[in-house]
Amino acid sequence: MHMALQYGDDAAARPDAPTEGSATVVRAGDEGFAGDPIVFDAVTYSYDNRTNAVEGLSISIHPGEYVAIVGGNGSGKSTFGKLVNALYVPDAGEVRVMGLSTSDEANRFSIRSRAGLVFQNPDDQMITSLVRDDVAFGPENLGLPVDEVVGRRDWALDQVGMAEMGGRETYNLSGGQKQRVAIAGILAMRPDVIVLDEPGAMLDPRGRRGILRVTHELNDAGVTIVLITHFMDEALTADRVVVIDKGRVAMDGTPAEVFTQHERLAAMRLEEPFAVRLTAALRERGLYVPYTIDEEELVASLCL
Amino acid sequence: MRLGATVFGRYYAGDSVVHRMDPRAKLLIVLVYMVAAVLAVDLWGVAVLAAFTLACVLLSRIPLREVFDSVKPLLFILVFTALLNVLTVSEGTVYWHWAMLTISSGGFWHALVFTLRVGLMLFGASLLTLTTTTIDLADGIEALLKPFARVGLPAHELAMMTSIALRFLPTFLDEGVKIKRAQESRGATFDEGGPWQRLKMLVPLLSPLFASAFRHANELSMAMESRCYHGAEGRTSLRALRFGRADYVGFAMAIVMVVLLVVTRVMLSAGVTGHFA
Repeated sequence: MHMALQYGDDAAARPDAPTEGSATVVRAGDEGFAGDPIVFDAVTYSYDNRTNAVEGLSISIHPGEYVAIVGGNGSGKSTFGKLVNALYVPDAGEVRVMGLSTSDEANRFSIRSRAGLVFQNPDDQMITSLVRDDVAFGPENLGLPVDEVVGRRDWALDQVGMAEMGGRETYNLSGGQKQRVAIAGILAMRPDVIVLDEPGAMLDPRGRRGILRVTHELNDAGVTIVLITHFMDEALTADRVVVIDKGRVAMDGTPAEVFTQHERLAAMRLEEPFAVRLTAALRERGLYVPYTIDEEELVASLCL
Repeated sequence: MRLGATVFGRYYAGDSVVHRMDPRAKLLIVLVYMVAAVLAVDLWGVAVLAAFTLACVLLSRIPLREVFDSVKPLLFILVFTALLNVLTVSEGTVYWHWAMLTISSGGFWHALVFTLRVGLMLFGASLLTLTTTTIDLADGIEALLKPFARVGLPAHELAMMTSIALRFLPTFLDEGVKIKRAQESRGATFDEGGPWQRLKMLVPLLSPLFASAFRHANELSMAMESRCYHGAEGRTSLRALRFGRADYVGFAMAIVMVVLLVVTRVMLSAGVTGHFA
């Protein structure tokens, strides 16, 4: 896969370039936004007005970061994704995406096109029967000119390694391929951030690895990635790991900083990556190995 | 249940003139074709209709067998219309008579003409779906309904709903099979007992299917919203429909066929030519 994820200097190629006479969704605040793309400011959200799914959650995602958000069932990590995408609006506090508040309804389309959300179930985000039509769905909704829609569609399919599959029916794809189409569908809107809500939960290990690779390639090309996951091994590949527990940030740091604190992780019933568990078990049995989160490093120290 | 077997309404992939035609043109031609089928009341008319149909099949490069196969599930309609005509029409020599039923020579003629007409109608409709993908069909319907949007008809929404329904058809078929197997593994039987018994067995099959459909709908609507869907207004339509030469020619041919049918009818009733049937 070739990475050239520059959205181009060509002003006409920018999603916000207003097309004359059409009802193009104009993206506010597009010019030179340099702050944190996602900011949660003491956000509280409840589904039923009794228990809070997230409670006083404050977090900033920095530009260009690859952040893994981990947490157990019911920790509030999925709610996070829907709050970013303005599908849910905070009961208290504020979510700002590229400086735009999700509470202001006028910002909604700008926010959704700039911080895309990939869902867990690949079947429920395939909107049309043909792969290439599905990828074009977002840009079509943005009211872009036809050439632009076609260009972005083909480019996005190429980015996720599905360039040859445009004419296929979405129904006949594997789960991993569907998820890649879903990512392409988001990518075609040229977002600054992509939030993926457990994209591998319904995939086999091979499909999951493929998705992980694509997200890293996109991140290398400059897209900020937020990966919500319960697979700790996936979280290991991130720049930064944020652990959410009971709707709040419980831990926040590099994978090494987070995964070496096994008591705290165990208390939140989070399983550590395999290398960490093995290290802990070995130390418990009196075999000294330095704490590590890296499998190769562990192998190296064991072989010494 | 297997998809892609002999199902009326399936698509036969190809790249013929007919395949490439504008779906609007094809829909309009089928509409004209249906009018023609109503006008074709004798063998002359049926011959004109059959010639047109055959020309379309040849142009579509779909093997005649495939077209027959796709109409096969509806064969019972033809048998039924034929029987009805044979038994009810009383014309010419009467061979047999009992209560309201009559078998006569005229009945056989009517049965022949009528069955051919209905058969050709099915042929024409089937040719439309064989050569047009579901998306194209939905686009064509949307475009044709657009003038009615002014009087409040939600043309875009109707087309979107149709295409989503078509997109989810295989998903639901799969889920239906899964649920059926799950119920069977718990001892349920679906093909035993009387009609009432069988009908009752549909409840444990359909209620989980409906529940799942609602779940899908909820998730899908969120996915659509998150991709900035907001109805037809300000939305680019990538699949721009263009009327080409083939579309004009095809439509003109259909009109010519109708004119021909009208002319033969008028001439026949004026007694210029001899009675064919």
